[in-house]
Amino acid sequence: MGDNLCCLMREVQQQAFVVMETKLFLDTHPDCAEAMKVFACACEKLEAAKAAYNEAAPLTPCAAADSRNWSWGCTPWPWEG
Amino acid sequence: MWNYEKMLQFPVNIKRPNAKAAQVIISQYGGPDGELGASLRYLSQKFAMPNRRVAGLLNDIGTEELAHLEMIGAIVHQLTRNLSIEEIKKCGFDTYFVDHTVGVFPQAANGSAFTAAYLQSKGDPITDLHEDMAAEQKARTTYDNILQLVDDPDVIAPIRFLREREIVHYQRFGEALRMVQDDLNSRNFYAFNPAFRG
Repeated sequence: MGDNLCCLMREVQQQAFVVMETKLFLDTHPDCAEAMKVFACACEKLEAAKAAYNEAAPLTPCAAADSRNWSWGCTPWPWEG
Repeated sequence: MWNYEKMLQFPVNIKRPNAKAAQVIISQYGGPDGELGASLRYLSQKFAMPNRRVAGLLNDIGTEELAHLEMIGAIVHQLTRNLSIEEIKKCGFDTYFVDHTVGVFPQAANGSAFTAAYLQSKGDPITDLHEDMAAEQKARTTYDNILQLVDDPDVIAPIRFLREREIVHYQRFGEALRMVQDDLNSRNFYAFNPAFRG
């Protein structure tokens, strides 16, 4: 993975982690307004980070829809390291 | 990594509970040719698959099998919901009930708990894809057998859908095997494991 792609991925991972962590907290604290705010903000940042990554390589099959060839299966898989 | 979507791949809305049907259908949850084994098989095999497109196919089908696992769980849950103790005893569901009440547990129809011995991850792409094709056929036969044992249209519709997916997966694995064979070095006449050089 190139340096730029690595950087974009790091941002997706960080925002996805905030979303995941806040989601678990909200599952048991559904009335916490502060957590709701953090969650909403993180969701927005995650969407932006994903959009930036998708410009370079598809994160999901649907993100591979706008290229002429099927790029889902030819870009590296995360387990390749 | 995975994210959950709040939906089933195909709708499951069963109006009439039927413990007898649940007892056979649960085999596709945690039985020898069930969806849990299928998912674990493909999601484990993907790591040693040298052809990137085929590795992606294993990942995609392994992911779809998790959605099938959830559908089977929903079917078993809806078939065992609101059962009376009398019905549980009459249907012979008491042997399941004593250990799991009406929780969904990964087991075969005969009561054996799920085991990873139901699957293999051999580290040889050709061997693994042959297993995968066989696994899809075995699951398809199991769905055929289930369709002979149930008569509720609410149960038949999702089971038919799952049966059809086995056929599609079998087709895709057949094509994947051809892709892996095309990658073989022409001097590897006997198709020795192309993923490992000792």
